Amino acid sequence: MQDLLFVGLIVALYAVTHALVIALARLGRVE
Amino acid sequence: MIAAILPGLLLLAVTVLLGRPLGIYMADVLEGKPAFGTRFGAKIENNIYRFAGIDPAKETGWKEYAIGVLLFSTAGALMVYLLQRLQAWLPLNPQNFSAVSPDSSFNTAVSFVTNTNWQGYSGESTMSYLTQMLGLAVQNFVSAATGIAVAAALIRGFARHSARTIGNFWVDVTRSTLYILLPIAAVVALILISQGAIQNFAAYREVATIAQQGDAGHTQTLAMGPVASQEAIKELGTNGGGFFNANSAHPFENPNSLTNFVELLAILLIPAALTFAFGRIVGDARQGWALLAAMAILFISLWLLAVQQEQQGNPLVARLGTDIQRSELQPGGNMEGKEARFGIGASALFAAVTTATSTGAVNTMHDSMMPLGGFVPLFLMQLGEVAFGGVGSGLYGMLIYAVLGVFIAGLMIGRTPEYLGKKIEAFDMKMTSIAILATPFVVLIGTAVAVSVAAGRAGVANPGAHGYSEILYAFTSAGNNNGSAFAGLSANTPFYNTALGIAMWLGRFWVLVPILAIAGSLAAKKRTPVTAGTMPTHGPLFIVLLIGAVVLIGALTYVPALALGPIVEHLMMGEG
Repeated sequence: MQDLLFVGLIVALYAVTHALVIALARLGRVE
Repeated sequence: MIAAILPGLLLLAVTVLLGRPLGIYMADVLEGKPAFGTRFGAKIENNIYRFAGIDPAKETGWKEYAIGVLLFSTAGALMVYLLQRLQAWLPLNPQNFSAVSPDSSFNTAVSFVTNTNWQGYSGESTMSYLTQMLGLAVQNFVSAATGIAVAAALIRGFARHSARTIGNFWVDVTRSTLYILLPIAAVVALILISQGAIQNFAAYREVATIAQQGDAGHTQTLAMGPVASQEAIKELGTNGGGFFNANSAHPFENPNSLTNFVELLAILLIPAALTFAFGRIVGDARQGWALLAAMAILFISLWLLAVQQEQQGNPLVARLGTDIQRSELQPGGNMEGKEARFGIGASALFAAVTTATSTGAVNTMHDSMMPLGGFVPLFLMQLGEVAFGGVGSGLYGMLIYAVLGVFIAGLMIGRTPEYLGKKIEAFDMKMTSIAILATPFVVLIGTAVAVSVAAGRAGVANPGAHGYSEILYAFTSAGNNNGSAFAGLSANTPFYNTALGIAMWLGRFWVLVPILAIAGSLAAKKRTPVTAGTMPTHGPLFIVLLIGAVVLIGALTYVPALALGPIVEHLMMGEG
């Protein structure tokens, strides 16, 4: 159970950082 | 004082002497040009690309480059996590260590892929040889290579014009590992072995202690392992995670003064060399010298403060009538937490070098330094570890400050800021702001949460100003991907393992992503011709401006937090 939690946390950290890449790329295109 | 600083001056001289040819070599490797060893390694390199399905000729824009970095690091984190959880059933575990706990596995996995190498665990009583080698040492190489790759991408951003691509991440990370890190690490490992660092797969040994030889009740367990190979890349890759808990204070990791010097040199070598690589790739060596000069001035100023504080010692101890003066019979000063083999000069130097870079290896216990002595490693990290900085991260961190510096100068004289012929515009400044503010956000919010909750305060060994410094140091170290610890803080708890793990991730990738965005933005710009109104970025004025930008941001961001920790401790000590 705890393994799922921490593996999920690694994947979640990836996901929020991937979202940052997408957001900054969009900002770059707008500007 | 002079005797205490001479080894440091020699170290800086040797670093510059070796850094220049290495920087030229690194520039050729990163530019894909033929260099020493690349012909020999070409077959291995091409096989890696073929096996991984990579087209080395295909370059990408910054977005694909950043996603490559993230996917590679996430896969690495998952692998290190699994290795720790499964080590009890895997080979090369002569001590039969059980699986590492889930929260500690998470912390260590994130720690090693982010080049932080914060260690909540004690290596010799937790990790199997397989975990140390296949998990931790591999990440020591590839996390450092990732830093070099990102620095290379940013350099290309400055060097190219009207370009849509900044390189190929997979090629950069492969070439950095194969042609830069592996050969130098092999040489350093051999030097360490020649001086007594151990390299074996033996089970731990029971030995009778010298004083109690023959008395069966007094034995000591000597931890064994493949130490030298891990030690070499630990320093060279500015990683810092020790094979043993005592890190570079352990005689099997750092046997004598010569190995201490070699380890310090290994830490500084690549960050310094990258400034020369930068100058070569952008076609103006003076630009690299200017960055190196700013780094050196920042480093020397804070290092000398640490030496002075530690050599002066604790006035409260002196008031008790204890002789703390340096003499032929004793080193004097503050020897608490220091290896007698190294003394005050080499200990203060190591503390400064390890935190000026993103290394975090220690040969002295920072928690035992004088209040302002401990302030030095703390502040060096809070400056963003740009003097000389981590492998890759030092250069890209300093270049971001250079962008900020020319922006401030542009505001003062009313001109559009430029750096190396590239106009610095709104998008670049937004990315610069995110890159500079992400780490203080993580450090200060993390510290505030930790001192506010019972789980955070529970780990503090010294309540009061010093305990607060321990928490601030932990989040500063994690957020800046340093990895050294102030000790005194019991951080192997679910709260700290999770909170510091998140801090390490955000401190690495929320800086690295906007930097790659700047690289992409700069590469796409046209080059502006140099005119009489262009501010030169290779002279003393620019060096002062750059140092000013680094110190100003560091001071404005962290001085209130520092005032509650080491500064108030220093004032309290003065009051007696």
